[in-house]
Amino acid sequence: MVVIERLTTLGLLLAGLAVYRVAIPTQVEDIDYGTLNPRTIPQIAALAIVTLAAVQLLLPAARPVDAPSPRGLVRALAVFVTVTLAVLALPRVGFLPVSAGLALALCLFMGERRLPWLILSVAVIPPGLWLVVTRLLDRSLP
Amino acid sequence: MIDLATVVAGFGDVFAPTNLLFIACGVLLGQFVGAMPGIGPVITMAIAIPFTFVMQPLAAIGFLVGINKGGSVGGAIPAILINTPGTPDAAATALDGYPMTKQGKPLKALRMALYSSITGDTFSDIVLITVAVPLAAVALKMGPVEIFALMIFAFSVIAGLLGDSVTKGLIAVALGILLASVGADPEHASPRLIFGEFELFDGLPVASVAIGALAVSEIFRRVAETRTGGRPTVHFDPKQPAEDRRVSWAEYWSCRFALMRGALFGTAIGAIPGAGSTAAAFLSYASAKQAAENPESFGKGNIKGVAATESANSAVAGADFIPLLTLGLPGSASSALLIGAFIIQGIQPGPLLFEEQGRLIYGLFGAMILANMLNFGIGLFGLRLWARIITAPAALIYATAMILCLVGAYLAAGGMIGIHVMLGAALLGYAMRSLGYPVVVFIIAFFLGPRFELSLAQTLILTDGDPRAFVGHPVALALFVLTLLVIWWMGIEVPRRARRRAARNRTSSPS
Repeated sequence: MVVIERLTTLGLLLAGLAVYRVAIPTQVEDIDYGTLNPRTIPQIAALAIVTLAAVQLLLPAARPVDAPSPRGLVRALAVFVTVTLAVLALPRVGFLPVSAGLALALCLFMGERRLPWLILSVAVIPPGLWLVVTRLLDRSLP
Repeated sequence: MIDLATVVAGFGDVFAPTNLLFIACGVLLGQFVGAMPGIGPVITMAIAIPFTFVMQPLAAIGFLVGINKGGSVGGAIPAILINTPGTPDAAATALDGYPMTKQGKPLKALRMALYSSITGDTFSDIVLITVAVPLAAVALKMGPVEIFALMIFAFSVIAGLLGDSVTKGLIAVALGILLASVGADPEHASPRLIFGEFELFDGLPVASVAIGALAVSEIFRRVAETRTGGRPTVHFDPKQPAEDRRVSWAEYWSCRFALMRGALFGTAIGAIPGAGSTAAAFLSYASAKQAAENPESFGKGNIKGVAATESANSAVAGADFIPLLTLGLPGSASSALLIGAFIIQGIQPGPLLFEEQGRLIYGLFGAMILANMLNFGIGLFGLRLWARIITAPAALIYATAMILCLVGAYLAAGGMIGIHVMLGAALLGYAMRSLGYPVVVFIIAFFLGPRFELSLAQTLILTDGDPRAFVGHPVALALFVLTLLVIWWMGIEVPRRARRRAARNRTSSPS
């Protein structure tokens, strides 16, 4: 876990440097009139991240990081990919089919096999939510 | 100074049918989600914020306050029945609550938890109502330089108390401020870090970031950990004697010192940004145990243990509003989310709120008191129902929560950009949780980022960029010194003492 801590802190330090040296100069205009340059706050934040990450590398936290196991990480990534695919499908397919599919996928992923609960998650909750949002709140969904 | 007519009007607004309905719905929802381990009131508040767009300010804030208060009652239910706290602060409640269930007295424990929760919550609400106005008057005397110094001090305290380490907490603060700077610069309206995405010109949608970082990241973690769909069963014995099913007045009165101690701990700790209800609950428990005639009975089903913890963790809810309303500084995830809700309603929380929106403030106070009463009523009738709820399959709960997050993020930003930001924030939140960086601190800093930039700009104008000008602002100077002390104490001294203690324990324990 100490190795993970050090590697991620190093990654954070490098990310902070990338923001300070690349992202801010290319994405934020340098305006030297007025009270605060638009770059000031982002630069302060990026420098703070770099400095604090360096401090953390030299003086790691007393409590070691409790990172998830590789299996847990893979499962979390799988969930993220599933949700991302659903999000990509949303504007093309629409809310009802995507939310029903996503609900079913998540239930099956978590080991739920009982038919009544699966039917509830697919056929009752997404349409119920759709009704509440579009009819009650008068807002639109994809 | 607020006139009596404003106070009366504010309290009266609470009884408008719409406001009553939303506060009641908030309490109901809060107890429901509090009873389900893994969801909790904070995630629910994050998801609910976009749905409050269509509400009037008092209804919206009352709804969210109801969720928060209901959640602290609901969190005790699974802690007592299945030794699994529904909210982190109910972990202390399980210490004596679950043994009471094993002794065949689950309903007695649940009722005591409910009565204690209401007692503590009501006490802290009364303290809030009493001190908020004078404190706001004091806060109004603070200028931009003092506000800037106070924000730096608050960030350091929150970073130290809520994080694994001060360094990680401060990194979370810096991340929050960095992401808050995305969008148009407030002075020149020049776009910052939008990477050509003009939908981000108004900044990252506040609700989407909150939903992603707080709710979705936790859902990812829980879904990844959950392998089976089921939940444990809960059973109430119908042949249970009446005295094991209820709490008599004599029993309640016998816990009065534990209740008052808990209420005081919770109120004092709740007023400190970052201290948290979990710390209050455990401190109160330890104090009640120490003061008891029979401390060995604690942990074995002593009703005073339940009273002490629930009184404390609920008292935090009201006191949490003290820094939020008087200074505009949130000290916890729930108050940070309330700031988000205020901002969405076009209201800037802080001491000026008492002058500009006095009627809303007193309406809010009325909503808090009413929410306590509703919490009591709904809790009394709902205890058995919520006990059944905790048997609902986790898969269904998390799948529903995930869809609600998608809907909320979409509504918050008015388009798919909200969902995309939510996903990005979810990844960031998951990484932060996994590596011990406090997500709540990140959220607080993100919400306060624009105000921080404004106060920095004002400070530079007033001091002309000269640090020597701080000599004319002794309060600000004192706050800067306190900040350094806090960072030294929590960042260097406390870890050094912990390492010495660990080394002593290693040398003294037998091999």
